[in-house]
Amino acid sequence: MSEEDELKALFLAGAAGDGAAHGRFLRRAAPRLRAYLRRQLPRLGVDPAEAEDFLQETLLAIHSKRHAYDSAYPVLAWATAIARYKLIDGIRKRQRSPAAARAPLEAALSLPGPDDHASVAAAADLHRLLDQLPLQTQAAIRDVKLEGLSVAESAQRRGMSESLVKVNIHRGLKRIAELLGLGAGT
Amino acid sequence: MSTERLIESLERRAQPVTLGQAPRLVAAAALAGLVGAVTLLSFTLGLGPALHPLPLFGLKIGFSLSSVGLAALQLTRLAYPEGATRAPLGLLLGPFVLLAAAGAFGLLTRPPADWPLILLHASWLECLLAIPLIALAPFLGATLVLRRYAPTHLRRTGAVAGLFAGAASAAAYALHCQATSAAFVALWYGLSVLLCGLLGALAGPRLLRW
Repeated sequence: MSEEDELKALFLAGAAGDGAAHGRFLRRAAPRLRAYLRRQLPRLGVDPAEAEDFLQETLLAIHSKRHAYDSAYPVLAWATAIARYKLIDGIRKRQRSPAAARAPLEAALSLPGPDDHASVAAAADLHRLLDQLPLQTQAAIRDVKLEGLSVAESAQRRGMSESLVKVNIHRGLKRIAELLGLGAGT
Repeated sequence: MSTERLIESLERRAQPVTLGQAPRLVAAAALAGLVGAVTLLSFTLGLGPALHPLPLFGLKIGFSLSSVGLAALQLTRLAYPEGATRAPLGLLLGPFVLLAAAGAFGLLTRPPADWPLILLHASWLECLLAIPLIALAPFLGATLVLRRYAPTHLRRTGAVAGLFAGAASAAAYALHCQATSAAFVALWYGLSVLLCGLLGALAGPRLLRW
């Protein structure tokens, strides 16, 4: 059985309500979709490090639009078409509000400490700093401080409680301050 | 949240879904759209002595219902990701070409001096306004179905949904319209339905996002 046939069988079983098959489909499709997104993002002028966010959006959409699969066509092509759509939609959303996309970034950079230190952190540095944080903390900061979502929206998206999102942001910003040598903890 | 955690949570929420329902839902939207448009028309402009003259009524209904059918067929494809590749837009032009041919033929049988009188018959504005306004009812139905699905070419899908709604509205409007020349029908029905397609193309990217 080819990979496509196996994936299609898993997907159809998942669509029929088999949760385990659904999970196996998503786990096997995810690396391919991640590779696709990593290839496409630089072409659109976006840091490939954001592939994981787009991947999660894509997996969510695959889940909620399962009924919009036509079994006459290959399931991997269908999943990739959804990834492509989410990519284009995400980029358009940013282009529509370039100011909104920049403002939260600046807010995230205004850390406690001398002003001259804050200027050190350009966007690239910020992403490098974020990568050193635990995944949950990264996610909360990306949502609320970079993308401008509310705490409640982030909590819903990540399946965390609101207080956990707040704690993660607080810890994350503190840790970033430490990494920049601004905090008292080091 | 890690991607693995997300997959775990989706795994637990894998309720069964039914595939292949798009054609049925689009057909339901077409029927509901036609009924809605006729209802809206009967409460506003009212139904007229539409069947007279019969050949002209046939032209109006033939053009609009064949457009509804072709647009509905395309919507069933556009509802799926990348479905645009399987929905040849050119097909939709067929009824317009036949309508234009009938109009031109009608015009050529009359002396050119009468042409402005025929084409600018007093009811042109009513036609141009009524068709897009009544089209809101079938457009709503098409939008509800498409939002449930996953169209990826939103402008094109919006345009076809607009044509679909405009054509359904034109079929209803034919029950009121008292135009008596094929050329008038060709010009103003054609333009009104195209206008609906244009409005649909403008609204598509906002209305159909998911």
